[in-house]
Amino acid sequence: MSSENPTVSDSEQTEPKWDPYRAVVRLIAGGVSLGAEGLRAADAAAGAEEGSAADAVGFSATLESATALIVGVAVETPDRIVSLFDTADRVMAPVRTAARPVVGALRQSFVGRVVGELGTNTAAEAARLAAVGRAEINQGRRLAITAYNEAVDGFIEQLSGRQSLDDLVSDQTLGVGKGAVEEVRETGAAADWLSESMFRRVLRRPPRSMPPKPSPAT
Amino acid sequence: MTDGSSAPERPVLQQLQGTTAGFVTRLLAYLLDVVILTAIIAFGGWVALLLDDLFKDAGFDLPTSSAAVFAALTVWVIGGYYVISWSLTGRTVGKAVLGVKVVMPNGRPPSIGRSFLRLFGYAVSTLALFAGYFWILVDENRKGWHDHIAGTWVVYDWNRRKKGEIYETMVDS
Repeated sequence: MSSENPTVSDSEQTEPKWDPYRAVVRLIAGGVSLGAEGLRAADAAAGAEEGSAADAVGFSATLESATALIVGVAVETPDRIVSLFDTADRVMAPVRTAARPVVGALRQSFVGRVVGELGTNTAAEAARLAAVGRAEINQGRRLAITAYNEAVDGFIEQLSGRQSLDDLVSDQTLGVGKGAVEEVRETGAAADWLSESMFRRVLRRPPRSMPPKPSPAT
Repeated sequence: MTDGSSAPERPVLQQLQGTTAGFVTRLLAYLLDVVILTAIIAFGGWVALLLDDLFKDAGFDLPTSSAAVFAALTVWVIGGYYVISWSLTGRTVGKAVLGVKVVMPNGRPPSIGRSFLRLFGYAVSTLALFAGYFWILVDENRKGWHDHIAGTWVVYDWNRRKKGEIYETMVDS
C-alpha cells in the first residue's frame, strides 16, 4: 500500500520506522481531512445512489471526522481490529505472568479467563461487522456506524449481563482484601522484618521490637 | 526467635499499623507500579502505532519528527502518576495493594511540592544505581534517599478500609 504513496521516501519504505509524533499529527490531520473531503464525496455518492442525497444524513464536519476514523477501522482495515486484540493479548501475557504470584494463580486465571473471553467475543464481532462493511462498500459508512453501535452496545450488554463479572467485582471488593492481598501484605511485612534483622546483625546494631513511627524530629 | 534470648519476636500484623514499612514491601509496591506504568505506556504507544498505520496512505508526510516528544510524554505520564497519587492520597496503586502509604510526619499526604521533591529523589536514588532505595535496609528509620530529600515517611496503613471486617459482617448476616 505504501509503495504507491509518492511522499514516502525509499528509506522509509525499506525501513519503516514508527514515529509517535507523526502518529498523533496524522491522527488529527487525517481525521479532519478525510472527514471533510474524502468521506463527503463518498457520502454524496452513497446518497445519490439511494436518491436521498446528503441532507438525509446532515453530519457536521466534526462528526464526519469521527466517522472517518470509524470507517477507517471498520471498513478499510478490518484485519487490524482483529490483530489489535491478538496483540493486546500478547502484550498483556507477561503482565499476567508477573502478576500471578502476587494475586494468586487461581484468581488470576479467573480474571484472565473473563477478560480473554470478552476480548475474543468482541474481536469476532468486530471481524464479522467489518466483513459486512467490506462486502457493501458503497454503504460502508452507514454500516460502519451501525457496526460501531452494535459492537459497543453488545459489549456493554455483555458486561452488564455476566454473572461471572458480577462475581469478579464482588470478589475484588471483598474477597481479595480478605485473601490474596492480605496474604501478600503479611508475607511482605515478614520479609521486611527478616531482611532488616539480617542487616542489623551484619551492621552490629541491637535488634528492635518494633519499626519506628514517623516523627517530626527526623 | 522462640528461645527468648536473641532477637525479639516479629510483631503481629496489626501491631505494625502506622509504623514505617520495610524494604521488601516497598519493593513489591514499586514493581507493581512499574508494571502498571509500563502497561499504560505500551498500550498508548501501540494505539498510536495502529492509528499511524491507518493514516499511512492518507498523504500526510510532515517533516518534523522527534522521538524526544514520546520520551517527554512518557516522563509526564510517570511523573503525573506519582505526583498525583502521592499528593491526593499518599498511595499509588502498588502502595494501595501492598497497604502502605506516603505521609508527612503529621500523618497527612505530602503536598504537590513535596511530591515533586520526592519524585526528584526517585531520580537521584535511581541514578545512583538504586543505592537510594537500598538505603532503606540500613537506615534507622527505614527511609530511602527520596524520603530524606522530601521529608516523607512510608508507613503500613492496612486498617483504613477494614475489608475483612466488612466481609465477615456480610457473611454473618
